[in-house]
Amino acid sequence: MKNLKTRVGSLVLKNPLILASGTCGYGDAYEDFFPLEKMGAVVTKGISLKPRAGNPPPRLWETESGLLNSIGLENVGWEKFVKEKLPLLRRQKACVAVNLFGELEEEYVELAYLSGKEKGISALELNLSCPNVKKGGLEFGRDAQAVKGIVSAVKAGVRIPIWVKLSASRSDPAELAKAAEDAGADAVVISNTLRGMAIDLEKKKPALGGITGGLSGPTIKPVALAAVYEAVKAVKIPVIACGGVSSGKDALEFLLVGARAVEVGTAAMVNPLAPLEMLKEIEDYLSGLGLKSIEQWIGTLNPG
Amino acid sequence: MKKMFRVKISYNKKVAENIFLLGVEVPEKLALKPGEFFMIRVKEGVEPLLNRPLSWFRYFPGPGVMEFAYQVAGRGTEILSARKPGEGLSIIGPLGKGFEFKNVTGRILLVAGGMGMAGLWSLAERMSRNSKCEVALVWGVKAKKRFFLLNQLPEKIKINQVTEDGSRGKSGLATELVKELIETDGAPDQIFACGPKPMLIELARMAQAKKISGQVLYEERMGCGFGACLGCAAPARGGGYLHTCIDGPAFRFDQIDWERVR
Repeated sequence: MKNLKTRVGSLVLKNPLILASGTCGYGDAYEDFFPLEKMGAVVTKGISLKPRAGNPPPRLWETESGLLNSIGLENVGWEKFVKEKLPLLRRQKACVAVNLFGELEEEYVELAYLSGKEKGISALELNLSCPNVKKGGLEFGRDAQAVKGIVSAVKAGVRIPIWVKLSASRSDPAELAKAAEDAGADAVVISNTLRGMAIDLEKKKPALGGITGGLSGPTIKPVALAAVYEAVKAVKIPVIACGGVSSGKDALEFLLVGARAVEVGTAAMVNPLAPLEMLKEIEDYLSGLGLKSIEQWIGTLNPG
Repeated sequence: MKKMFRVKISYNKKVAENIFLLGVEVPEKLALKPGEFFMIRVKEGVEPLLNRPLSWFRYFPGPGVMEFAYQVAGRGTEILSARKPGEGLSIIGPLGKGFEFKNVTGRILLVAGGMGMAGLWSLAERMSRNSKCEVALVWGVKAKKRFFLLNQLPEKIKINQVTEDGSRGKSGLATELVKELIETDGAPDQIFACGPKPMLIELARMAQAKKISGQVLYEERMGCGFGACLGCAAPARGGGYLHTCIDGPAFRFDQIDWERVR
């Protein structure tokens, strides 16, 4: 099957697999493994106006089929990102979504405005769901009102498609997705990592330098799947799935419930060739069913 | 260039208490630098989720065999130690920045704490072949049964054995002997070290006091191994963090803010 193209609003992705923010650096980390243009899109590490040092180590703790992280949105800042990181993404002809993070609403607005002046940025992903920072992130994604406020503020100043990344750990992700849609978002991304904690028993202290962290990996897939399922029912804008996708079959499940694309994070940092292997798996599976395009699969879940 | 390899296990044998030597057949020639490492998928599937970082230990280009020496210290290495010859293994590498040692001459002191010797071994071999270097090693372990392959170290290296329980050689910590050696023989021209953080912190303190330059192979919990997740943060002198997997794992003493190392 050749036609893996999927539409995410006005944007056409060559296939439904997207490298998720936070586990692909600025795209540069995968340069030696495969050309980034093979992916439907690449989402950069969360970028803030000023560089951020991130949280103190330890920043990682392995759990049962999962990973807790407390990176704390370490990033090089907007200026250095544009000067040093964006050129590689352009050279690789990647479809680039830039993940934006701010502690204040104005910072998101400013970052979105600056993004509009750069070539080679196809979408902006607003991070309203990082559990690892004291200010910003999840704070803006805490309820419908907060989501609405920030999305409309950002949307007012730019023409680039705005994806809003929300957490499945909120009580009602579908309600947040609806709020994003009402405020003019072009798509929602569900989910981010889920807030979690681990203890280093020998040292009798929290395992992470940031005390709590964000859980990712296969262990969170069912939580993300339920949230995506609910969100798809609640909104008309595209839903992009993110959370524990580790195989082509996992991706097919999210697409079946109606996600128009699927982000891959932890699976790719464990096996950098996983995205390509997953693409092949998806293609073979759908060909096996005699389907001609992925459109014939997306959202075709049989009601239970 | 780093890449993912599917290798075959040639041997995986116990060489000391809890310590194993893993030999794998690599399908192509590798250019390896001491201090570089590989991410090892101890088992296919999602449990355990992460790959394990291991320094390459020795490499025999003839038969195309690369070795890793590791200590069973958790569930990852436990699973690895049960893997059998003939089985396949996925590895990613070579990764990281290795030691800078090309222009190093004079009296060289290698300091290994326990399994840290695995990270210094290839450097010890290379430096012992350099006629402009006089290489001494201080190797500290908990008890003598934790020394491995001692008789295979290059003959030219002066080996000082230290055990915490006094079962062989000098009793105490590697850093205590280093201090004595500096007092009796004078400061070496360069120190290369690999071992637990308290050992590295103490060495960095001594090196700074005596103005000795040197490099360490730094360990931190690692996620991807190739700069994707930014998990393996090492406090940088002057603020912020370096990343063990791409900026290191070999760092000069003066790159790290040792006050913030935990």
